[in-house]
Amino acid sequence: MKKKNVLILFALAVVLSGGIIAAVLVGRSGIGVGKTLYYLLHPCAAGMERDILWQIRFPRVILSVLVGAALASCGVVFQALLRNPLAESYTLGVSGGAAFGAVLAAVLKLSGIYLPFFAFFGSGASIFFVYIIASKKRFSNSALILGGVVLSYLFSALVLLIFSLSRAEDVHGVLLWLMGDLSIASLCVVKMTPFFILPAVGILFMFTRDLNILTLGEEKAKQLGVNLATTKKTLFICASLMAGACVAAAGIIGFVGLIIPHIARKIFGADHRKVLPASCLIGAIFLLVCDTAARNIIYPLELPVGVITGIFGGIFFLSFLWNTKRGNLF
Amino acid sequence: MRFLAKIKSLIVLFILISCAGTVSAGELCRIVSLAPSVTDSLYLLDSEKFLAGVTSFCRQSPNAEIVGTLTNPNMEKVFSLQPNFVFTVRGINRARAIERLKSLGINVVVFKESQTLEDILANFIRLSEIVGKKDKALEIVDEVREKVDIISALAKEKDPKRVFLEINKRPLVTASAGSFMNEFLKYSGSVNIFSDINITHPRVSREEVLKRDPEAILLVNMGDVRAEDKKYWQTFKDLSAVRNDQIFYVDSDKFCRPTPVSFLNSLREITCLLHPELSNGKDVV
Repeated sequence: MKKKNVLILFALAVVLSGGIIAAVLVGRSGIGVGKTLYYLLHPCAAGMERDILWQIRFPRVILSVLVGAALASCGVVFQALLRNPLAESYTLGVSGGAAFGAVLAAVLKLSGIYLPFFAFFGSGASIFFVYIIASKKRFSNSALILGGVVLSYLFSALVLLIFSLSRAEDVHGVLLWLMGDLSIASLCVVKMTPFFILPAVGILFMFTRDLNILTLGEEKAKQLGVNLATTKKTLFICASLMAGACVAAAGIIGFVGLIIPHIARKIFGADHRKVLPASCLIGAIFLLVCDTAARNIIYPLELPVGVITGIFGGIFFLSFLWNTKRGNLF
Repeated sequence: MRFLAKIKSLIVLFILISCAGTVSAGELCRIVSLAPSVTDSLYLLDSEKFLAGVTSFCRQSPNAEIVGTLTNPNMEKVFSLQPNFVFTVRGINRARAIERLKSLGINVVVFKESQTLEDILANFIRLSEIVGKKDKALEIVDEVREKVDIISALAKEKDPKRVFLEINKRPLVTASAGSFMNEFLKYSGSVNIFSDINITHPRVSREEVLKRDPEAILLVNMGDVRAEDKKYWQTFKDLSAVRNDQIFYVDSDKFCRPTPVSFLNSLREITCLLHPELSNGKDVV
């Protein structure tokens, strides 16, 4: 790796660490910087302010970092795997399945603590069906995309079916949640998320060379000795389960999986050995910034984080498209 | 023969006119209720026998058929019942469905969505005038008013409690001063910790809830709120509501179909939760 690239990655890591500390310090509930630092250094102290920092703000910051990194790396993998610049973390039906699971939990009156699990199993079901369909077609890209998209439609039809049969109050909350929410309703979810996301990211990192070869086209990849079916299967399952875990923890947060890989490629070129770690870092920083904005702009009210990622991300990406030379998009 | 036909048509016309105004003949009136609160109110007025159709969310009556859900009434079904009146509530029933029913030539009565006790009472009296039970309605309204006054007078003697209303957990949504839920706090001598916010159902910061330190938390099972959510708040040991064990779960079904009597019952329940000493010893009516 070139020295310059290493330096950029290092700089990104420094920015992320600084961002985490800054995000914990930023909050309009009136705890001063001095007090915040005191409570951060004394986690066992007592008091309301300690609870605000350690039970609400800090877990939320960590969750936004994890989810941002995971969504961005899913995006990288899907864009490379499907060789499609429009692919993102939810392309293969993960969000549809999760929405179905969540709404089902709501009408079964189980949405309390079980909501994330239902959402995760919903996306798991969707992944399973896509897998079955795609495996019949030897994991061709079109089978994966079509399977994923059709399943998304199927699940959204089922969600609408449940909606039209149930009380509005029961499902309304789930709709809000699906729009993306990083605020912590139970620490258990935050504690479990890293166990899903970190190993999955680790596995994806082991496949960066194969991702490079896959972008050359399947024929060439085969000739260069890549076991296509196994590689695609592993990447698909890994990335989708990770996206499912993200939806379970934080709802559906758009744009991160779509735009971050493009930005990373703009900086580092096409080599996934750099693009993947860079996307992880940029995605984490991006969602951290967006969520910090979402919880502070109209305090004591909160904005849905998806609104911020959509606006920031949309404007940023349009200007990025505008400035990109012809043919350099992917 | 001609003379007989004329008399027949005059009789029919007379019956039609008598049904369109207030109903005293009773048997001839057919009502379709598209809102659970209206259905319940008809039961209170002993007028459920007029019901020809109700939604699947309404209290069911043996001679009333189900005409669909709140949001999706089946137009053909409603029309085929040939109702004299269809009762709807703006905000509960979709405006499009209301317009469609009107365009079919059906006599649609649109009630205002109840946001306050006064709204509930006004709607109730309006309904009673249509079904010809105004005396009964005024009797109920007077009794409810009297009891609400007694409860709120008793509650006002206590220190006002700062209350947080949770109506959705993920994301955290509360009901602020302009909401219907807030009426219960108003009459039970309590203060909503988010009464300064103009939005009816705002999404609020958890940090701010802790900072404002409510003395009681009411979990209302509207969205994804469940009884076990108590445990989440109990992890914040320094919260006044936790220290005094003042976190309660209330079933929203009663609040979502407001009638004068259900309002009184809910108010009584919430007042007893917030001021338990009122329910011991002295009767809260």
